[in-house]
Amino acid sequence: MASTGIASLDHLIGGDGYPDKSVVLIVGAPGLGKEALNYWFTHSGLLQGDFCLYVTRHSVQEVLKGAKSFGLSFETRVPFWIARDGGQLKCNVNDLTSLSFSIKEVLKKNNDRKIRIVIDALSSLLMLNPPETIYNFLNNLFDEIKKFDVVLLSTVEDGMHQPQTLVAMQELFDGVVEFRLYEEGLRVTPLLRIRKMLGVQPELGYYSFSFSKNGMEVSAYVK
Amino acid sequence: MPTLSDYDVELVVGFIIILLMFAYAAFWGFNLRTKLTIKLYRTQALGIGLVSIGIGYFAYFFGFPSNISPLPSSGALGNLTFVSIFYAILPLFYWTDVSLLTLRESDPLERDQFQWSRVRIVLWLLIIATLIINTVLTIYISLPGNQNAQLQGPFILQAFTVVTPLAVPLTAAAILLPLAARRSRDFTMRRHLKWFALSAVFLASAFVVSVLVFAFLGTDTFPNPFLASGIQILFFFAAGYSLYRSARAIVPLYRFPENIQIRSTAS
Repeated sequence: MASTGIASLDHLIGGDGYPDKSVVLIVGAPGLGKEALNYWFTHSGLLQGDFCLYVTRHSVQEVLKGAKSFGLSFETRVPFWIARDGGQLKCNVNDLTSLSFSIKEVLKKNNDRKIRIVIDALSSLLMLNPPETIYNFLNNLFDEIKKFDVVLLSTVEDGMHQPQTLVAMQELFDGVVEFRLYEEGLRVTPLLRIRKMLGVQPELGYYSFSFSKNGMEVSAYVK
Repeated sequence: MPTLSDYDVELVVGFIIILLMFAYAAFWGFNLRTKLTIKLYRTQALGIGLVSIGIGYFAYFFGFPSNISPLPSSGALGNLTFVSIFYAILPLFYWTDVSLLTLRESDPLERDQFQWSRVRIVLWLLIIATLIINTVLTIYISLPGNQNAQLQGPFILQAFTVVTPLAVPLTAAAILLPLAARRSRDFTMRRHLKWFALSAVFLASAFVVSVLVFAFLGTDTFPNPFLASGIQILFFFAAGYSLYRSARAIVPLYRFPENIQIRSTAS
């Protein structure tokens, strides 16, 4: 298991975090803070000595700034970056072949360790390519990376794509964590839900969440 | 207390409903702001809330007849009331600015459309400078003994300082946002901007009717002021409603699940 970096979320998922050799999708509206899960997952992996690969369409500086806003710093322990700027390798969201090749090459060189991958570019890939192309790209990539001791986390924006595209993407992943805003009259409540998780029985239901400098607080939602 | 005619009563009731609609739109902007975590999106929600207040005030200022309006329309306070319009339109530029930054964020290639990251600084400086000049001059001519003071300086410069704080926000919102939205592939942003564009169309239509009412009221050309004002009120209300839909469309909202399950408490 690979800890999410957030104790309460680990508990919800089934105890110790994301299952081994699994690919997990975080779905949520822009602005809700789902990227925080990427940061905590990476931070937790680095603390445990795992090899962490962070694939982003942003520059490294932007990701570091984002992580800092959640109270995290990657100054002492750093992931391997495939980023638009400032990374060891360049992330070109227009070139799927090169992206896939880069990820596989990096994994081959670090296959002696437990590996964590974050892909923070799925929405961009879906905007630039037909959904079928991305579906096939991910399918092939997941087949390849599951040969290693890997846990992959990816985020996708809710509301940016056609609903059927999101449904198709969710089918590909072993686990899906959903962040949504629910309205009831004048009240709007952000809630988290574990839709599915490979091999474990996650705690069903809706959960309130909030962010602080110490991490993310998840608690059962009381209506 | 002036005696209100039936026509005035129609306007008072109509504008109370209109202002409530704009206030409701603002409420949704502010409400959603508190639920968002990322600063850029929080700012955008704040922007649409402020725009709703600003445009509501703008509609009231130009649509509600001055003879029954509680706002002063002449003298020193009248001057200051007029300057308040510049401040009411300022949130429009604030929201346009942050919307263009958000569109850049959601763009897969993060293109800096219209060189906005640089242009915005120049435009903000221009607006703030002209706003300060306008405010200072208005306060100056409103002071006792200065009522008859004539402002010195070329006409073009005076016109520039008056037109800029109004024209820049309106032009930026009317030209840049539709262009940027057309290029965007972000459905949520597009829906948010489409509702806003619809609000702008209704607002413009209401102003056209306002001008017609103002120009022809009491003449044979406009024999039925009730109908004209009714149409104007309807357009303003539609503008407020579209703004409310725009504010809600800033982020996908789902109906609250009825079969909510709580199996355990984690903390």
